Amino acid sequence: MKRLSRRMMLRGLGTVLALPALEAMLPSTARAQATMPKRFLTFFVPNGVNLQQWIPTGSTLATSGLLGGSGMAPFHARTTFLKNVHNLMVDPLDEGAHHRGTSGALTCATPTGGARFKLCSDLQRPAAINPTQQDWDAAFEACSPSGASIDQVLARALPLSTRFRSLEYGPANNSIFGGGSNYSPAYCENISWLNGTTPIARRTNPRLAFEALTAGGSATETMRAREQRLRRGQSVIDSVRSDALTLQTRLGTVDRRRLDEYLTGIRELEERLNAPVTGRMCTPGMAPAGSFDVMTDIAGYTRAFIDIMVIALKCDLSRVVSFMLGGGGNAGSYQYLPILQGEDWSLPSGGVYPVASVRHHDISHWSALTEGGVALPSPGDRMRATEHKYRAYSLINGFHVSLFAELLGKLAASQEPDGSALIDHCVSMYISEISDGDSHARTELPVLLVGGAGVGLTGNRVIDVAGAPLANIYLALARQFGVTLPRFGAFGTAPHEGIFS
Amino acid sequence: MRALTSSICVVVMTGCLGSIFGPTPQPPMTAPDSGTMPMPPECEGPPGTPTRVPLRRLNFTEHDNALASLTGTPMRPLADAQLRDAVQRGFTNNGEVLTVDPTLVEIYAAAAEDVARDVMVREFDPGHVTRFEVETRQQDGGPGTLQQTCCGDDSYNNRVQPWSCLGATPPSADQCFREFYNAYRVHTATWLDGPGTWTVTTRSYGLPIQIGHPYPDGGLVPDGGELPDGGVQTLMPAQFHLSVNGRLFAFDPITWPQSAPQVQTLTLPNDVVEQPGFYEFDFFLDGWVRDVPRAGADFLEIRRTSGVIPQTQWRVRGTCDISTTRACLDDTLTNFAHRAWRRPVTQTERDTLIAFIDTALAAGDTPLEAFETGLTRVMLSPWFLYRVETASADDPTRLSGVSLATRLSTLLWSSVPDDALLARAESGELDTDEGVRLAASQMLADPRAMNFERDFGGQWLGAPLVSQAALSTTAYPLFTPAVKASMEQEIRLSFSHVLRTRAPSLELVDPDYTFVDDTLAGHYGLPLPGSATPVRVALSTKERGGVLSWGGLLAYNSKPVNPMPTRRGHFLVAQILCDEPPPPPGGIPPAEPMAGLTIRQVFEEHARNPACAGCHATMDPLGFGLESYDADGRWRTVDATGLAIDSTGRLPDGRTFNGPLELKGVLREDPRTRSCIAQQLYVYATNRSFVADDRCQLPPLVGGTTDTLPDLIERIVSSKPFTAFRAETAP
Repeated sequence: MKRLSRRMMLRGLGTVLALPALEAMLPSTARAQATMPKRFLTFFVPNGVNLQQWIPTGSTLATSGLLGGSGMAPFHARTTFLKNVHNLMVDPLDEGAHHRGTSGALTCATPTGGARFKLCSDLQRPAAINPTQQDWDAAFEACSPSGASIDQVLARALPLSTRFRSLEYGPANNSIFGGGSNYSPAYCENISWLNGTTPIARRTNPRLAFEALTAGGSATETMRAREQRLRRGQSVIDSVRSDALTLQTRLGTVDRRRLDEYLTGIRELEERLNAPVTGRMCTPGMAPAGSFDVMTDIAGYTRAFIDIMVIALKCDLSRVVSFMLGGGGNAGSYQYLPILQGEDWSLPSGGVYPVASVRHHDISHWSALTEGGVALPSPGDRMRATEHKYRAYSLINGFHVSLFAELLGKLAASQEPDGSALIDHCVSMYISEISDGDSHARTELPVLLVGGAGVGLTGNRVIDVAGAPLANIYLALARQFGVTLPRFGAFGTAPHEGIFS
Repeated sequence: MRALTSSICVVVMTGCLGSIFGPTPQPPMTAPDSGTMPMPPECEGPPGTPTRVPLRRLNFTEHDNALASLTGTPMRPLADAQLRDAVQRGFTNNGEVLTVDPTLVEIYAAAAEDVARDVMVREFDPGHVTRFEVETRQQDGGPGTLQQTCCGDDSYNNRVQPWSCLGATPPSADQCFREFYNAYRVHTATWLDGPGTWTVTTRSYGLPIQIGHPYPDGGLVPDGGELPDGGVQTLMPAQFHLSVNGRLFAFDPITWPQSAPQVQTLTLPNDVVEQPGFYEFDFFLDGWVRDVPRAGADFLEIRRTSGVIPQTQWRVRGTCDISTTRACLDDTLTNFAHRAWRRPVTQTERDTLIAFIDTALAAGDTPLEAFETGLTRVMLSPWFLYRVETASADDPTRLSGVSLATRLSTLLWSSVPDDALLARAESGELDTDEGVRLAASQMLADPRAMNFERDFGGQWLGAPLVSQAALSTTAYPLFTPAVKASMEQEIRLSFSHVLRTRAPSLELVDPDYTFVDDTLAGHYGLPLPGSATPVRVALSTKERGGVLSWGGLLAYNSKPVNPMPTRRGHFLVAQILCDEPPPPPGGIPPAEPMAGLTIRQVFEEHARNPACAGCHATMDPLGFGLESYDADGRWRTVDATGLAIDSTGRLPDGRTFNGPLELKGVLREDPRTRSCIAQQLYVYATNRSFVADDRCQLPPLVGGTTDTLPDLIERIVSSKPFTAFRAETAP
């Protein structure tokens, strides 16, 4: 069913206007570049990257196997490669790397397992010299649910000057952990967290996501219609808020916190409702069309969201945007991907191993050589399997990078009102939950920051941060947005210097 | 149901230690027909107050079902937004993760508005007539003075040619012309409330017009006349067209000469309006005409002529008229709030709702508009969105009747109470354990209990996982999408059968029947039942049937090219024995096939490493017992490389078995199976994880070997863990 934008009361006022003429009328020197708003975009890819192909062998990005080509070359001048970024959490039990890495990618906090469901950044290491599981359980029990992600921290610390504080996109989860585990699958599915117990629902459907951006009133709405819509919307909001406040007086601490989430949502609904039509004059273009089956066409699906993110940023509908290409431990099979066609292999001992039917997560464990001290009865088979999985993994990594490069291309092609390129006013971060899929490590995380002078990035740099916690890099990022945080995550104590100028 | 990574080596972890340092302590075997489970030693004295579940929202399935139950809407706004419920500890109704965030509130608001609109159209506008007036475009006098008053949307201007002028400079008006494409046009979107017969009527009038190529200096070239470019003119009668969401329909051509206005009606095919929503209507006169034709249409009317919902199906509208009677407006909205909030509305709340309407009316809204806004407000209230629980007035340690009604309806219907259940609760029928038990038994007989089969049965037994099974099409060409779909049905129907026929729940482990259609029977090598839909077939041997033999689970817990004993074993340990080991640590490389060794031998080789033995000892033997099934679920005696299959096994407690048939018997006799069935349902019913003190609550609820699911449900819903109220601040 095709649906049109609904012009109703609670959807706020549309600010996306198809008025390219007005855009063009702005004198190019109207505003100095420094006044263009700064944005933060996260492009999350699951299951890590092939580190041997990822890390530049020299001092330039051209020496990275994955970044030298893949369409990234035009953006080297704006890219900062961070080497040796660590995102370790407090808990020493090295399990659930995908859960910890994903939920920790933007929070740098520790997820709790079992029946508990919260991210902790104030977890205290048990006093015992060799803490037992019980010691840790007690420590987890004691920690407060503190674990807002850096995108949400920025979205809520910055003054609201756009219609959406933040926008979160990506497919519904397809993690191998979707069914449940000691860790809640929610940890694998979400990078954006409002707080330690509340992940932000992703917008998964490109058509509805576009509709949300363009919905609401329009510039041609009559004054009477607008007043009517605002009045009705406000009356509903006031009324349900009073329900919630009445209910809240009867609740204890935990339930009250639950209801606070609702009140936050109602407040943001109200903000959107009353947002004036002062957004950018810009052309949203056409609504995305197609079936967007993420299983059969991950590229088409991602491109639809690339367009939506560019619209959101270009039209200044939001300044904090994220896209998850898949949940941590992504089980998506890339069997429809053209680059993997013809990558099947046969083992010397017989049998065909069709790479395309293997899930992304399985391929990411590319090493078939090092298995728990057991003799390899057929080294030939091991070698062949390793060789091919390594190659397939790199091809998938390259595919992800090429999509990121497409996004960067569109950001570079979009002009700000002052004539400068949008890409220079946006920190575009590329990140994964783990470093190399075969090691599951959360040291040497792949992190790219792309942007320009507008956000204090000089580009064409490979910076070895020497094991600095990711949280400290986020502290530096926040400072770049004028947000000073005393600490962040479990280990973020001071902004890492030397990345932003 | 955690899909285990294909870990071969698992380091020593707590929880699996027993297997390394000696057998895991097992509960003593009880006599086969005894229903009594021993209390764990730590449970002394009477059980305490059960753990509480935090304030939770309805999950997405419950929310969509609730909207449908309250209003009869065919919409499923949350499913349409592609929201997927989070799984915690195996189920999507776990209150620990049912949180709310700003994006969700935005989606809730949109859902409330859409459903309110849908209710208004379906119940308060039964004929559903939407009429658009089509304005006649003003004729103009020349360049620059054309009046563009037609029809709202100005997109047709995109197809207006620039002014062309002939002859004198400056040109006079009669020497200039423009050409118009789609000279008359209504381009709009309107809400249609769903399937039925929809007609679109228009009235055309005025002078006859024809479409064709014009002379450069005005007027159409006559039919058959020579065109400036040397071609021949073919005039066509003018014809109105209508596009509905991109589907094009044509009205009859306007006959020429036409002496009187012509009313024409189009009936839309039934597949145009399949669900409620906004539909885009584009009504236009097709083709190029010179200047502005002196003809057109004066209205467009969209009308429902069948499928209007009858009064007996109104869910929101009462018998009084809210447009004319203020008391009716107040009562109808309050009554809706009563149902949506699943409890009596207090006088204060009623006053608030009335004040809400007062404000709307005072600001100029019509009663219908005020009511629609009121419906939205009720459906966006936390009282609707959350499951707020209260204590009984008589017993502060027991849930109120209305709270229990919602607990029962979310458990058994994945929805909210209907009017009958709410009325029973308010009359005190749920204030006794017996009353709750009776209500549950009646609710299970209701068709809505199929939601329980789908949501509890499906999630527990892994039915939704089957579609995710990804086998190599080269290695398993017979594992077709049709086979996969039938395998999922096999699981769902087996659960449904055990529930509906009150069969012993252990039949899920060891039945003498299964459900197959011809496709799946052929795949399994069973006699064809002669049915394209799955039917129950009796089995002569127990190679098929039950959770150990369902092809869908065997395939899901396999790698693309070979079975994974650890994963298969893990599924049984987690779902059937409730003895799930902790997740594997990081850095585990996956298994690869090795020449000359069966997969079983590969795993056994690795399990020799004492560091790996702990967890694998609990899972692998069960998986080895299923080695008789290939990755696509078919029975086998040799593997793909011709090596003989060994499906014998020895459990950590010393019991041995030979093949899946004996393993079924072993699991059927294992008291952990009965205990686990109860625990799975207990977790689902309480909406929270199973925590330490639940170990003391569960044993009395576990049934004997002939226990049935309905009996178990009735025991659980009338037990303290289900009925007790515990305030957050209570000790």
